[in-house]
Amino acid sequence: MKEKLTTVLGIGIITLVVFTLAFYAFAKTSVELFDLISIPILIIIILSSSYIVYDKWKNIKAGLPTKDERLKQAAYKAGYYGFISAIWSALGSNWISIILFDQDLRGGLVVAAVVLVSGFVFMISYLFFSRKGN
Amino acid sequence: MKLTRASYPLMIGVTLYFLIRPTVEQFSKDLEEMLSLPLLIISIVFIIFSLVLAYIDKELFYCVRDERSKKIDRIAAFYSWWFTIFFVIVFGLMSYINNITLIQFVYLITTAMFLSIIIFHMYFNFMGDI
Repeated sequence: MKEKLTTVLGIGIITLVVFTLAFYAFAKTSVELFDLISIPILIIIILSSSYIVYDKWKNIKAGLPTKDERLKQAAYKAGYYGFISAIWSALGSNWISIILFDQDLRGGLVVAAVVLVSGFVFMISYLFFSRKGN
Repeated sequence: MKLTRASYPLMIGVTLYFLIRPTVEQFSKDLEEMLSLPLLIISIVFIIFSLVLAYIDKELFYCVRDERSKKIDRIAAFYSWWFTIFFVIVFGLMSYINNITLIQFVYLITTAMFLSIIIFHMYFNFMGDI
């Protein structure tokens, strides 16, 4: 029951994110550099999380557990990489902005950089470790 | 730098003086001047305590990493990552409301990250069976 609930919750969150992204994309009149970088990352995160939710749903339908010990280890390892990338994106996003554009980032953009970069690294490494086998 | 029983006090000491003190300085110079000496003394005490523990555990020069410590690193980082996302969003909202500058914001989230990893690591390490 709990597993089913978390999967349904996951589907709900992904749907909300997709609608918000679509609303944001249609409301935008001009495309900025930030959009060009952030939207593809967000799409990759949405696609990979949709795949994970779909995989879980398939297991529920087949009467199998959604998470085993190996997947837990994969999540911990992916979380480790996500954490390291969060530290570096918090520090590095502003350095990159100064080097490339000669200006400081706004606080909101650093939030976006940390969430997007660490989310991206987590998702990709989780998919990689869960598919890799051993 | 490996997080073990002996390195926790060292990490806390270093975080106090080199991360929390500059973070306070970003918000109030007077408060930082007031806290500077006590924080320095606390940090030195922590570092000495850490060296004593490292001597007892025979980890002064070399520290063995087994499968359990690797597992603790990953679990602690995994939970810290969730906390980091939470802190980043909260401080991001605060930066809009209270006009927090970028450098203050970066100091705040870096401090939160380091504190959360140390606390989670200590928790899972001392918990025993993981």
